[in-house]
Amino acid sequence: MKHSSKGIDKSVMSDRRALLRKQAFPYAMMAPFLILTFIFVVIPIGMMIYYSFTDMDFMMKPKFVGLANYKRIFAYPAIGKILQQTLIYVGVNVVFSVLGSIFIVIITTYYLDIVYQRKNLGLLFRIIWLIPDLTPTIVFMFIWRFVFGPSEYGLINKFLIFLHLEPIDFFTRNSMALLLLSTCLRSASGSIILFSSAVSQAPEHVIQAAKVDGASPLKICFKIVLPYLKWPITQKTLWTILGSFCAYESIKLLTEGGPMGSTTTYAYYIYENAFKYQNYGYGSALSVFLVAMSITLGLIMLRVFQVDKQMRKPRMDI
Amino acid sequence: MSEPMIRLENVGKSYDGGKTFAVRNINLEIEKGDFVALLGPSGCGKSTTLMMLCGLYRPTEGSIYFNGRYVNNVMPKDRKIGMVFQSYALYPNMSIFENIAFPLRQMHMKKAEIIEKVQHVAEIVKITEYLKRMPAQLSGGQQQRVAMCRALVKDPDILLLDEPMSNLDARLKLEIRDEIKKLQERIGVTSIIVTHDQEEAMAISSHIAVIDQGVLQQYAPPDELYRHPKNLFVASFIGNPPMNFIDGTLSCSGGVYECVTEGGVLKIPGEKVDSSLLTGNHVVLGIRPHNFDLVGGPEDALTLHTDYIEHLGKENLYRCYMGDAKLRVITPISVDHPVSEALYVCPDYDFVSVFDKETGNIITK
Repeated sequence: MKHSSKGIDKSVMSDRRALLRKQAFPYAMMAPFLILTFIFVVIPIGMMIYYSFTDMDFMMKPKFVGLANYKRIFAYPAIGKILQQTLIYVGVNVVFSVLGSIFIVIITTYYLDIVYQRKNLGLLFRIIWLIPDLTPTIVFMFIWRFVFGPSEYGLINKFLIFLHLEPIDFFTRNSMALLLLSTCLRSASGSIILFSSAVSQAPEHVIQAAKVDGASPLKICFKIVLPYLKWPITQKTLWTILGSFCAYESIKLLTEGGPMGSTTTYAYYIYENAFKYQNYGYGSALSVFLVAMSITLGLIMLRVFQVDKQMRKPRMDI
Repeated sequence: MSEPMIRLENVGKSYDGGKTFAVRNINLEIEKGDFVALLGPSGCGKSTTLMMLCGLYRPTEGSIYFNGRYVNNVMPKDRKIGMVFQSYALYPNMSIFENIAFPLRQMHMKKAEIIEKVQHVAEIVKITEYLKRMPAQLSGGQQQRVAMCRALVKDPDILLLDEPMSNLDARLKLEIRDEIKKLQERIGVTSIIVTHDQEEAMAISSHIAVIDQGVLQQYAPPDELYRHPKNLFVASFIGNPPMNFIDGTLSCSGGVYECVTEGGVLKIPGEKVDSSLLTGNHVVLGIRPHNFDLVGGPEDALTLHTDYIEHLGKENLYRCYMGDAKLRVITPISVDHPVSEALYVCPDYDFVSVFDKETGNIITK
């Protein structure tokens, strides 16, 4: 203000420029990331929300229709069944993939590596168990279709026919069970590395101390080793819930939602409407609803697992 | 003769199926109530010996007896031992109370009894106020006490301590050392401590077993170890500042041994030397830095040249050389000898150890 009467002289100008440069520098460094995020995340989300209020379809001429798409979701008679199937799909997936991961890791890392000191064997089994996760989804699901396929295409049925037994049509009778089995297996194998490293974090001395204190290997497993898995289990549970909530590719590849919509989950229903029938407007409305459900579920999970309490404050030791 | 509390007979351990041995031919007898230190440099096999005593490792050869009972194949939990690990090895997911109660729970003790026992032992070690906390909330010294509690709560016959103080700072180390010693005397539990710190071993234990390269070098009370080390290794390992070693040639004339060194000739009284142990005439004299007397001339004395002087407060430490050999001489603070002048010193023959240069073993009585 002091200089206002005299006008802005040169040194003040350069001072201001330096200050501006200093303040702008962090934003300049963030710019590439911010621009990319804006183009690939923010704009699509905005577009999705916008399209959810239109009747956008393969003609690509959106017309504003208000809340019609949202009304349609709840008016759809099978939506209850779809949500129920989604719940089963997510629930079974979470429970069995987490339990499966724990089981595999307890056997391979704890029993083989630590208790029986057979490290090569443990490693071998861990690698074998990684294969489902390392296989591309399309290949993995193709193998499942090949193995469980109907009479003349399926490996098992070919074998049954060879033995003069009645072939079983797995996909018509138990398609949901088959879908769950395949996805659980894959999902269980996916976090073996994470779980295994958590188990081997249990210090040797602590396990030895428990041995001296008279605990059996099983007791050590439950009382000493499993607590080290608390964080991986939380992470895996959250991840599987949100992941299988939005998953459609396995369903698309294995059962295509059928038969009679019995394996159609909410995410697959979106895929069908948006990309198969090209109802982009309706698909967007469904997606907005899915995001809302995911966020609610995620927040509930964060509370249930008390994630904030698991983050331990740093501590200085003297 | 009654059976000792712990007896090791030719115990050896090999990790590679008998090709190389981490320790071999360990023979030890430990009486009830003793506090024994297993002392040696890192990698000497002292921790392996302890692990065999606690039962986590099984000896490859030899046998271990507790109270006359053969325990080679006995599980750790059935040995009536308590163990404190170097890292304390507390269970991070349990409260301090649960940590201490853990061994009792494995014995399926009644709840009330567990609470009473934990309270009792926590009072002895003075950690009652921390019982509700988690291990991560305690400092190193407090965790150490908890580990002691957990080891003592089941009234063990034997307490095993694996370098329990190496993670503590210097001051706390002294404090905990005192506490462990007092506690051990009070409870009277037979204890074995593994350490690489000779000062700690000297201060805390009633007997020290010095181990080097898997072989038991000497097993004796601290003062005997200090005054009468069996060989050059023990002599060099025990004592701070370390012992001076002087090469010399020994010859006998009229009941007196004359030792010719680079810095002069010393006359060692004949009755001190056991000549039957001598293999040649090359010997090493071992003299501790404060066992020197300053004398006026080079007669029957060593002539030293001072490199520099360390003023330690309670005494002066002269860093000297004699030919190639470097020596330390400790003098009272009143002595103020100029660096430039030669220093004539005569050892106190009561405290001179003579070692055979070939075998490294002591030949003085």
